[in-house]
Amino acid sequence: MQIDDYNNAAVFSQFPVYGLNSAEKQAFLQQRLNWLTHHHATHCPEYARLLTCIGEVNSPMCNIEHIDQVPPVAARLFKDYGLKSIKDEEVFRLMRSSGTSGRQSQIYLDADSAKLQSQILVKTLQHWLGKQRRPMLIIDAKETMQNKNGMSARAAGLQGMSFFGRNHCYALDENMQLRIDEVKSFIEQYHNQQIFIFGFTFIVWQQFIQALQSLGLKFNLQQAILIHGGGWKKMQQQAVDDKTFKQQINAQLGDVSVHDYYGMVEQTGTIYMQCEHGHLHCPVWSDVVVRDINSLAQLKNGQQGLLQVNSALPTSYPGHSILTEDLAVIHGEDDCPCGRLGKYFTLHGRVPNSQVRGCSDTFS
Amino acid sequence: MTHSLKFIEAVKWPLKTENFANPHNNLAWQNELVEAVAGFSTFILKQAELKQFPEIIALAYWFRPAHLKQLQTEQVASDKVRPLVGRAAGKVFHIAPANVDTVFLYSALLSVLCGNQNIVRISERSGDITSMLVELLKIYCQSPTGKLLANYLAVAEYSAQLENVTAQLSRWCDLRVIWGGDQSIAAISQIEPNTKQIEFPDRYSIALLSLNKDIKQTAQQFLTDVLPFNQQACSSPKAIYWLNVPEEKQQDFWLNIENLLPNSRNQLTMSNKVEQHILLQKLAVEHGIELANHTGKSFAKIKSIGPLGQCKVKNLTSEMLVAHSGNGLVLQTDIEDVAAIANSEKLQSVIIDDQTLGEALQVGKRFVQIGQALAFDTVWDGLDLIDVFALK
Repeated sequence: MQIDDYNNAAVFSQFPVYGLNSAEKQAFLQQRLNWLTHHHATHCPEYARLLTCIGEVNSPMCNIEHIDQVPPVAARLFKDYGLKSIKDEEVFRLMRSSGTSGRQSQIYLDADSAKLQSQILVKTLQHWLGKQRRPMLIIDAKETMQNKNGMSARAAGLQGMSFFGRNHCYALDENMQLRIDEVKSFIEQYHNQQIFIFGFTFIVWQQFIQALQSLGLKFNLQQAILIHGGGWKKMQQQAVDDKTFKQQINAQLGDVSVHDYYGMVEQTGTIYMQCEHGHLHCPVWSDVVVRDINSLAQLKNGQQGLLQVNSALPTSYPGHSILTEDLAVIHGEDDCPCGRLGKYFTLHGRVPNSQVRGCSDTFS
Repeated sequence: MTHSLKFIEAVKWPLKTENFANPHNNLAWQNELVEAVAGFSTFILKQAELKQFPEIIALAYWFRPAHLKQLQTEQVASDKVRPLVGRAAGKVFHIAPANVDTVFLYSALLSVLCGNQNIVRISERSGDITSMLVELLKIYCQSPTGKLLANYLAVAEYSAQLENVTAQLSRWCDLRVIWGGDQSIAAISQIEPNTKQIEFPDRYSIALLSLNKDIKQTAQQFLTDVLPFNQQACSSPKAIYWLNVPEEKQQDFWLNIENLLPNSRNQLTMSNKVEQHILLQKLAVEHGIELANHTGKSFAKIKSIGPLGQCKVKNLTSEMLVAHSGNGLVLQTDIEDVAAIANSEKLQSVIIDDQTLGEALQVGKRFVQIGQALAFDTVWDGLDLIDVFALK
């Protein structure tokens, strides 16, 4: 491998999804993340000020020796400022986070970033789904995709995922109620094939699995796969954990392997899939660090703290290293029993929110 | 003009007796009124379990009988009171801030003493301290001494979106008192715009320290000022200006803070800590703040001291301090001369640990001894409230 290749998207996008060990990944991401840091410091004045704040004023700014050292941008900043490293006329797509309350993140993509993101997403998912498109059952409503007020993260997720299926069937109607006849005939038609089911965790649980349960409907799928994401906040409110979720799905649907995923609009394209052992895995283009909430010092494996996500992809906005408000534990690197290389971790909720702004909110 | 004060909307009245709506005489600074207000203080100080809420105890202490007697003597002697007594009571509508500060209740009770009938609007998102105070008022107003207070004080709880309620209360009152922030004031000022009004907009405060006295005591006093209301009150110090203080002394100060913190009550949590990190980044992005001491790429950008965070900065402007959202982050900077302190219309209190500094200060609306920053004064933000509430 040539050093230059590490910064050539045409080359690194071909890396095996979970195939580089710690040393190889370090060599790749150190080069790439340094390049991205310099790139954003040059093209995004807000990002340059963040580096200046911490004394990184010499050029090239903030050359790191280890990938754990990249200073992360707080995810909240994408809500408050239009951070981008491209000119206005180069904006190809504006992505917004799915948050229904409060301000949404705004992520600016140019054509190249959008293309790279979808390439990487395809590569990652093909690892789990294979290259053949499968009959696809979407646990959502067709109408969700047709919202004309800009693309929501949910719609973007559905659209991205629907690419991996064929003969799509939407399991819910515009009121998010089960379309029972359509689902029945879809499953009847394809029950011997490897069906791909996709939906957002809480919607799958409440609008699909619980609806089937209350109707007393069970199916006997063979080698189906369910991919779901979107977070556990509402599930925890109903005291449903990962294990219960999986058990109930198998009880209603039969042989389905269930995979949660974690990802965020701030790093679209980079997703963390859950393996058979319940661990979320970094693909080769990404790395994670867990930091102490007080000092932001890096924590050891097994310790819980704030999750930092580094990604080789973002070039149009300074999102290659982001400090999330999610709590996580890294369990190891390169040694998950599932055999995939890279760091693996689990999530443990979010830091409870307290965005109270002093006296300023009399009027609310 | 009469208003029935009946609303179709979802307005809750956590405190309002039937008698409140009847006409009442102006009893400005009369004995029975002073006793009714002082009785509330005595009532609070009797409840042992309230000792853990310094904000509530401070309020009760301010309205203690001896202090009110003293104010009463001054007012009665001033000749301002006599012409008011016996007239119909004035009507004042107070709009309290959500979540922080008990200061609105100081102003409401002071207005009671000045002879007015008062309605206080609280947000349905008000914090625990506010709810607790309203509950205490409710119980006290049922007691023999408290009954009179209930004729002069009512509390309404409703969403600010119900603008017609605000409009109706604004028509009811002779004076409207709005506690910040700037956006709320702007929005409320649009409603019944001809209402006579006083307002308390966003302010920030700073500490100017020389550490010439006992450092442990100074540290304790600083905590008294910085911890309540998650550092979000207008008088909470957002930054320390060190006036010719050697680095070792500053470190000694923080060491004392660290030792005192485990025994200092506060409501700062893990999420406030995360907010501190985010705030520093926002100040960098928006206002170009730069840290003074950075050790390469180390991540300890904010030094964490228990629930507080501190960092020394190269540049400190009033814009940064206006944007500072509290949450326990103390910015620091070294100065050689008080002239280096950025002045601003928004700078309220300068908290000092050296009495002699007060004279030289050309900045801020108020200078106050350390440990007293949150103490209420009848002159607030440059306004003599007793004068204002006399409704001449």
